[in-house]
Amino acid sequence: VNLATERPPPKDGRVDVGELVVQDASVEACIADPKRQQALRELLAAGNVPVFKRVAQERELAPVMRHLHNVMLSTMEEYVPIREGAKNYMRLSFGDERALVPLWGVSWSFFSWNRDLFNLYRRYASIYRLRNVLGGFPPDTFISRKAERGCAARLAVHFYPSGKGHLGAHTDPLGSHQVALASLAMSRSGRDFKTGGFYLKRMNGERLFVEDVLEPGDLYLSNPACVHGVEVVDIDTEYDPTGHAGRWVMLFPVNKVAGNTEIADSVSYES
Amino acid sequence: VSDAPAIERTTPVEIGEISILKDSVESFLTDDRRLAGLRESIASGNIVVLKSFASREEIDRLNRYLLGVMQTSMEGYVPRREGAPNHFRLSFDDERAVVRAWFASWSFFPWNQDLFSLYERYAPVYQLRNVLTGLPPRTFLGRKPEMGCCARLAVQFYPRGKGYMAAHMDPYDKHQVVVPIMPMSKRGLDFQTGGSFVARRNGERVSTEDFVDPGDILLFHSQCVHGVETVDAGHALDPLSGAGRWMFLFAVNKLAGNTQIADATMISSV
Repeated sequence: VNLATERPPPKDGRVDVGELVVQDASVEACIADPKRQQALRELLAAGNVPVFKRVAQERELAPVMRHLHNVMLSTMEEYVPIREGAKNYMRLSFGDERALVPLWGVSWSFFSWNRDLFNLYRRYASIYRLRNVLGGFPPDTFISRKAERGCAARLAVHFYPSGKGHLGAHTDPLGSHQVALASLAMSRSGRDFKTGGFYLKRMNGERLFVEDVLEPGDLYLSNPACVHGVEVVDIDTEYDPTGHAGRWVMLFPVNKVAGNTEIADSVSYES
Repeated sequence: VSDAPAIERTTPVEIGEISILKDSVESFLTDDRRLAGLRESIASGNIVVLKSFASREEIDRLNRYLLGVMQTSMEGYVPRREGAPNHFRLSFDDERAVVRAWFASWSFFPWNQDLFSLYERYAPVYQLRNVLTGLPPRTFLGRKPEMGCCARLAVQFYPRGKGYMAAHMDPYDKHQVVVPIMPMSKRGLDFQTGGSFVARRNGERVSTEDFVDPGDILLFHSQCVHGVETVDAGHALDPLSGAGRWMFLFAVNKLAGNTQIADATMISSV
């Protein structure tokens, strides 16, 4: 379905949100098929959300979350600028007024030049490859051992703890390095958290809580110019700084390296 | 600092009485008369206890986390500079220390974030520290150092069998008149002997442990001689155990390279 002509992007750069569109082809099949890639591009341009079911198994995600939660409980965070050679790291973003977008969450970042216990870049390389071909790049761009084109892949797991976790409404920079945001659900809405979670916001104010209808291991793509955020997770639950409950998600961003001024920052739409 | 009492900076302040107050930390921040009384009391050498700032439950949760950090990481020296990371440090009778001690410590700076949002939780204690020193309440709580100094919220752990800190005085200067600490353990429950003391000019040591409970705020003049007597002396040290004495220190320290503020002074005669 080509909805691009039906939903032209507004003049401020935002793109209105369409619908979830479950794909009948695998991620790998799309990487190998330019026609499928074009169809995905059109879906994304129109603000739709292509969904790939069961890209990962829930049973392989559980140990990743267990490991990362243990890291959270046994380390002190450290700011690491995104530079070639930067180490993998954990970061806390607890209402820091310096953040471009209001945020309460924990994140673990992995760079392609490092190693990790779960070989995440090997396991999830296909997701980066799909992102790349959608952007017109060779499939293995950004996932080598070096930064490329002033950017670096930064595979990240985000944890939004029950009681506090949230992310303000915003859009992300749109460019050839990033034509789609790729998110792998790791939690089940209704079981691992009861209320809140990731949403895409339509121009009429309606919010589409994408993960309400997804399962852990499902992958979804979205247009960075669609306004999105995370509604406070389990707002009525008492926050436990050492707890595990909340929303977990794996993201596959490509970020500009420190000093790259050619790519824009995220734009907050909280106001 | 106009409000700070003028004293000779190398002479110990003689300790007075231990004064246990039910007033909250916050109540002094909004009442100038009450604040003046507290300042006067501390200047005259009294040791002031403000009861029940934190609960035992929240303290134990923090302890469990910090013990986990200690058991799974290796310490690293981090110079006190703007932007320095929070860190874990061991001070095991290191002959390079200005004041000899045996303890583990976890340091948090206001430009970083931590799991427990400690600077938000304990901001009133720093604010009280500041106004007692004659400084605006939010001094040192921003994202940058001020006056060549930085806030360093630190948890110290004195392990059973070894933990101690020699008698010393802390610098008295424009950044510091009073040293607030918060006990996180109870003698008789978490350890049996030793612990925090203050000392008279004649060398007599006065333990503060019987007057405080975990979560109380203890305030004393930075020029009062103080230290930690070996915790459960005679017990074998278990390097992986969390048994012993824990405390919070609400410090403001000079940055590396700042030579205008003196170091702490070890008092070997006590």
